[in-house]
Amino acid sequence: MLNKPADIPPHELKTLINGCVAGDRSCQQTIYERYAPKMMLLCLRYSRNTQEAEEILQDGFLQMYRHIDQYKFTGSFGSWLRKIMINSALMRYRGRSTEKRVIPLALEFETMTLSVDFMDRLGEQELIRLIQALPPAYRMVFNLYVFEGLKHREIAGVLKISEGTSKSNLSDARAFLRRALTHNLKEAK
Amino acid sequence: MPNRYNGENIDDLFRDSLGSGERMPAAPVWQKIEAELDNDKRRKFLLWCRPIVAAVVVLLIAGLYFRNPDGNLIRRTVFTAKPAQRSANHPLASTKTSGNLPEDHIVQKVSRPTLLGKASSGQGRGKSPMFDLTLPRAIPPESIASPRPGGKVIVNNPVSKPLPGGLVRAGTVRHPFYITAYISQELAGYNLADHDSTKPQGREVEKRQGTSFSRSVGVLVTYPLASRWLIESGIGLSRSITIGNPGKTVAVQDNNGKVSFLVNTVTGYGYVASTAAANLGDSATTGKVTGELDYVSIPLNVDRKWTIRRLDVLAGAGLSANLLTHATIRTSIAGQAGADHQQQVAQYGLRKVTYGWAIKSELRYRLSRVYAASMIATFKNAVGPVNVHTAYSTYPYNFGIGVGVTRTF
Repeated sequence: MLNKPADIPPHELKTLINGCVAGDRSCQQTIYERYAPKMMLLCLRYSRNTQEAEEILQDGFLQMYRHIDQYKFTGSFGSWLRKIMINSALMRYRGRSTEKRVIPLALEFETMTLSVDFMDRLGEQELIRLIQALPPAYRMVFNLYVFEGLKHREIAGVLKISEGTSKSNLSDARAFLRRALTHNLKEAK
Repeated sequence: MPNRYNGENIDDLFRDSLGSGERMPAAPVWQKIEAELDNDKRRKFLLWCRPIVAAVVVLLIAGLYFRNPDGNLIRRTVFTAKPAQRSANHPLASTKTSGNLPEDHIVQKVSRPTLLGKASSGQGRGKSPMFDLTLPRAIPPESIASPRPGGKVIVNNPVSKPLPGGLVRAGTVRHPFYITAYISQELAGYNLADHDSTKPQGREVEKRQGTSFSRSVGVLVTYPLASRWLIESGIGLSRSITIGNPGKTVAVQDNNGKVSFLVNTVTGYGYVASTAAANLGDSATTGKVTGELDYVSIPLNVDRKWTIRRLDVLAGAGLSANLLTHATIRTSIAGQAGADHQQQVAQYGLRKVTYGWAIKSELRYRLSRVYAASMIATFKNAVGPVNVHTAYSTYPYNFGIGVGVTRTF
């Protein structure tokens, strides 16, 4: 069951990681159970839907197990795993970046059905759905800027776009989200 | 924590709500990860096995290389024994003594290891005599030291080691390989595939096509893979000749920009210079058109061998790579000054390298222990076209009979 907290004492974490290096399946499963819930939320933010998020999560964990011997215990294991997950999401995004999806903004958020108490309680689920409704390029920039704290110059390097495009995408993403929230607010009234 | 959107900073709204939460993934995700990890283990195992498999393959090939064509590991082994050590039912009890050696010593050459219990006379199978009561030639007499007080003949061979029954394995002889020099005459034919129905070139050429034949000379090296299987390769030189009947030709611009008559053969084409002033589009009649193609061939065959007394019958199949070394067309242009003058020009439109498959049979009659006379029948067919024509493709085939001499080494 995935009900254990991610905070693992350092000595236990070291044992688990060494077990993973040796290919111990129980250690691999324990690491998964401890870190998967946190990583799943991250993956949901970077994906279009739950299915894609689970695929990113799966790819990320597999990459982590395959290269866990490269973890040198110099930083937080959670941060290291988080970077792997983001890389996994980026790889998936690059693989699909040729799909130039143009989304009419108005149509997109009008078709979204948010919960009735949207106005009063903006829960995780509603916000995730809003991020997932973003066009992929906007979603990536928004995630990297807002959640990872990257500068536009860094985002431009990661996504192989210009700094101006990064700024423009972030601005458009914010506008999209703001309009979506406002629209639903009016609808609710 | 639920948040209330009041038009404030939208970044903070999302960061606060989704920055540090958790969400349970579906259970099948771990199962998929587990399955992939199992696959990784299998892949790692295969990667780890790869050098071992390669080493085993190399060892198997090496084993086949050194394997006796009779199917045993040692083809000829020299055993020595003292008569006093032999009992009445000893395998060597009935052997004769060699006149060149001390009376109390026997040197026996056995073509199959008797220790395997497979000793047979070998007579009637066209092989060398089973029991040769002289020293084999492979072990020079000077390598035999003086008899020890115990009476055994010592042969200076590092592989010698005692064997049951007082025998000493004195040395082994590597199994032979064969080199065959041959000459062959072949009747050739060509299958033509027309690609352009609007241009009747292929059919026209086929109609004009007369006889075709080729001659080959070459050397084949045959090496035993196993008791009755042989691998064969070598090098052959062949000249294919095509003879076309007289036909019409048209003046065109050749590769150098000069006006020449285009002459097609079943394989390629050439430009025959006009002996008189000719304009583009002028027509003329060619004399007999002879095309000559020279190839260097490298075959690789696998043969099965049957032995009937002195006769070895080999049948096999294989592939060959053929390198075009020389291609010409020889003809004359009728109706022009100097029409009788034959011109030999280069033939174009041919592939430099072609491939083919072949089946062959060979009768090899052993004249002596070293030499044999061979008669070889082959059927060869091209795998792909020999030309690069766009109008038609030519697939040659031929049936040949050859004779040769085989030497055993």
